[in-house]
Amino acid sequence: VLFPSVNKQKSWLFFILTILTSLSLYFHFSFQGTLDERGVWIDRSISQVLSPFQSIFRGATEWTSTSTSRISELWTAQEENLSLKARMTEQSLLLQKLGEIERENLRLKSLLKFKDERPIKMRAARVIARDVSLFFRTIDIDLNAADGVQRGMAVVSAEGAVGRILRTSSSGSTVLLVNDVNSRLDGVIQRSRSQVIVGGSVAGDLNLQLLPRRSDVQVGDVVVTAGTGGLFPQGFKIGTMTKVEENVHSVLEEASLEPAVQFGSLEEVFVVLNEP
Amino acid sequence: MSLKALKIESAGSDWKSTAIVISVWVVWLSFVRHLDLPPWMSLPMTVVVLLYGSVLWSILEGSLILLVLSWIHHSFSITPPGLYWLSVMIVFLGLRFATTQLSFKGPFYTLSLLILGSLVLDLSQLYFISRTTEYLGLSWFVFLQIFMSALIQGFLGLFVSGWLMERGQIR
Repeated sequence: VLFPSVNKQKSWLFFILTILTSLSLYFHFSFQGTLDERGVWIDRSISQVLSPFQSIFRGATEWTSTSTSRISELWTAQEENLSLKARMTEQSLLLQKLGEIERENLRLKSLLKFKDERPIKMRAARVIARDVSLFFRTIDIDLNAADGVQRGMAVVSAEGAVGRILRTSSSGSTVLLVNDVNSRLDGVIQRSRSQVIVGGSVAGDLNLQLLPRRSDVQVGDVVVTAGTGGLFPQGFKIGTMTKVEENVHSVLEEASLEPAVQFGSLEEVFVVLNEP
Repeated sequence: MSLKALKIESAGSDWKSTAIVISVWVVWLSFVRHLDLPPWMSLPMTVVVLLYGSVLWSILEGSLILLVLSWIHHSFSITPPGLYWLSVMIVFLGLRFATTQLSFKGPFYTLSLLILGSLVLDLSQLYFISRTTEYLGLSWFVFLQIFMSALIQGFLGLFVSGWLMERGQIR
């Protein structure tokens, strides 16, 4: 018995007190306040204590994965080299074309007297860990507050929008992915410029939420970040529409998206350092 | 005096083994969160700790230890600790009933307890999440993931269950 001095009657009193304390903690941290504010101080303290463990395991898993990937890379190096050369030629042609478009864009902007947007400052980060839960989608990155990372900052990858910084600790920062059930993001449909709200789910799918009936959405439409709300810069790809379902009994439609980012294989991301 | 009796009387031995089990669980969580596993391979193995606790902790001890455990879990996941505590308490009480009122009948019985415990843990979390979130986006795939995760955790848990059951019998 862990508490030998507690007799049976006192034990029940203790139990009731524990239940009451726990329930009050539950309601305090789970329902009051937003996800960002839940139990931050307790969480920080525990993270500090567990930080050395995390570093050891991070080092060990990184060493193992680097060693194994180096061996497998040797086998595919020649083939990859050829395909990369071909891709580089394609990219340089595309770059020439884009340079021309950029110059044209600048010229048109100056004609219309458009104000220049705030430049985007980004910093590369490595993904070091993932959420252990089945229902929540977060990743940990190796940048923290000392690197200029703050809560609420947007995180993107070469494929598109990844998520936002949820919390920072001494060992890194936690990113709430856009496909998490707690995530909501302003998006815009590239073709029709309709504004939409993109949310995640427990299954890790993306969907359009509160979509009015007869909205101008089609399967195959690309949804990008709207840039409103000051969180994500405009134009980062969120996903492609895969299903639009009309519900005759509702004023809202349901639509699903295929995420632009392969969240399961994320290794490197970029934190947008512009303050949210 | 038998060795078993000595173990019962040795002061602080339960605290020690409880601390070891929780430490091993923390090390395990630190390990799995750094692996690139698909969601259906989510293996927190909390159910093994709960099975251990169900044979060694009283309800009072369990509720306190699980409260600490929920806070530790929160540094590995954004699952709200209160929500997690309620879920683990449900499983702990169920397992405690099973281990105290029913007698063990071998590895299949333990495996069933581990799988059922893991299923109830995930399903109760899902239920509590549904009470706090407007849109869940449930699909059969989610339930398949829960089932697969429970199955793997059950088989993995069976490896250490012999030691757990031995601890339970000593008590």
